[in-house]
This record gives sequence, structure tokens and C-alpha cells, in this order.
Amino acid sequence: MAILTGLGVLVLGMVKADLEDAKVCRWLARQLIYRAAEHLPHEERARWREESIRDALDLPGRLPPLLWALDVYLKAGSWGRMRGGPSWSQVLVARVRAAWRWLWSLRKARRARVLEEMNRHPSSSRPLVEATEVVATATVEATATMTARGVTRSGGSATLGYSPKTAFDQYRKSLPHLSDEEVVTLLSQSTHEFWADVDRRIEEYRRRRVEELGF
Amino acid sequence: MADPPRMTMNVLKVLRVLLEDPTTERHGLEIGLAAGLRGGSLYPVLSKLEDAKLVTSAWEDVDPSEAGRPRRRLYRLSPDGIVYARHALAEAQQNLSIGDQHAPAWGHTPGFPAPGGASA
Repeated sequence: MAILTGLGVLVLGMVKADLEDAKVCRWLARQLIYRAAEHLPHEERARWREESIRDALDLPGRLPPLLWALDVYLKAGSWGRMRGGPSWSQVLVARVRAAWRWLWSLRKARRARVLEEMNRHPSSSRPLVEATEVVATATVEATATMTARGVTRSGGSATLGYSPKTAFDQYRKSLPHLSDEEVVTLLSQSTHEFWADVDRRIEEYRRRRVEELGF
Repeated sequence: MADPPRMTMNVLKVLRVLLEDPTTERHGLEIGLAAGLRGGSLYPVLSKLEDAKLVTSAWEDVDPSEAGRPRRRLYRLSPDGIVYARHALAEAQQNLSIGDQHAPAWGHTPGFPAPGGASA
């Protein structure tokens, strides 16, 4: 309860601070009038929207424009019905569609950004960042190999939460019939295979993304 | 004239403001402030009056970039609207006793017939 109260106070404080900014109030007023105009017939929207915004923003101060716009918004439903505008459900459907189009455009923009980055840097960090998932699947052997050979190219051990030293000792104990030299040779080979696998999967990832993006 | 709108208090308030000086064009905010109406009540009334051809409106003839502000929509009573407004307000004053001391003298708009002789 105390947490909810605290959050409420915080949110109210933020809203109050925002409403003290005239630009925020005017922005809100515009948004309300845009929403209100959706209730009117399509051919009348632009005219009334322009006029309402003009009048609202002509009012001095922070809150009067907002209150003007709020009044327009609250009575827009009955005004729209009087003018033969779309019904409440049609407005709702239009809003959901608009929200969906907006979300879709965000997704497309993100894809375009990724593609642009990939084109700019063919071996860029982007796939490698995504490939942390691949690295996260590193085997204990590979981590141990890196430790045994003093390779600093790491990441798997941290992701997996293993101590490289412990991992190496465990691996060594699991192969009691092999000498130290044979274990290191085996680990060297598995390291090579591991990184070859990482490179292969990164290449697969890159090819898949290019296909997904349709290029 | 198309079908006249239903005479509500808001319609009467707007007609009264516009009739104060029928030759002057007024923008929506000015009408709203004078009539004591906010946007949500004002615009439906203006649209109804415009549909009934009692009011004419036009965009202000200014270049927004030169004026440094967006253009306004200006309203004025049409000749039919003046006659109708005078008649409606006179009738309302008789029936409802609005009791507003600032109400203009409805029957004395120069150049237009008195309410009794008007055919609304």
C-alpha cells in the first residue's frame, strides 16, 4: 500500500511538473483536439481541427487551452453523432488500426536500421552482439581450453557463471587416462571447433536476417 | 433557409452575441468567450447554425507566414440569420425571461424588419 501511495505521489508529481510547462499543455490540447476530430465526418475534420486548435492556442496561460480542448474532446461524441460522423466503435477500430500501423512502422524502421548498420559494417558488432547468445552456449571444454592456453578471448565463462579454473580442473578430472599434453591438445582442437562453430552460426544468423528483411 | 436548429440556450447565446453587431465578423473564440461557452458547446452550435444557413463563415484572408499566426475562421449572421435571430431572441425573451441586463436591444438592428414583421 505504501509503495502504491509512493508511486502515486511520484506520478502525480511528474504530471503536475509537466502541466506547469506551457508547451506540454499545448501539446496535450492539440492531441485532445486531434482525437476529438476523429468523431466528425471525414470531410469536416480538417476544418474543425484547424479552427479548434487555433482557438485553443489563442487562449492565454497554461491551463485554459487545455480545458478548452478537453471540453471539445468530451463533447466530441455527441457532436460527431449530430454531424453523422463515425460511431464510437468505428472510432475505436480506427484508433486500434492506427496504433497497429504505428507499431508496424516502428518494426520496419528498426529492421531498416539493422540492415543499414550491417551494410555499413559487414563484419560489424551488431551480429556479434546478437551472437552473445551463441557464445552463451559455449561448452565448459571450450572455456577451460581458453584458460589452459591463456587465451583472453572469453565471454562464455562469465555468461555461464563458471569459474574457468574450476571448469578446467573438472574437465581434467573427467579424463584421468589422458596425460596433460593430450588434454591440452584435445582442448585446443575443441577450441578451434568451438570458434569455427561460432563463426558458422554468426554467418547463419546474418544470412537469416538478410532473408527476413527481404534483401 | 434550411430547417432551423432547435432553440437551446446555447444557440440563443450564440445568436445574441452575433446579433450585437451583425456586420462584424467574429472568430470562434471571441464568440465563445462572449457567450460564455467553451469549445465543446460552441462548435456544435456554430455548425448547426451554419447548416441552417443562419450563419456564414470563411477563413480569414491573411497569409499565416506574414501574419505570424494561423488564420482564423470568421463568422457572421446571414441576412436570413439576422431576421431569424431577432425573432427567436425576442420570442425567447418573452417566454423565458432571460433577465440578462447586457442583452442588446433586439428589435433595433438598422436595415432589418422588426421581429413582428419577420417571416422566419
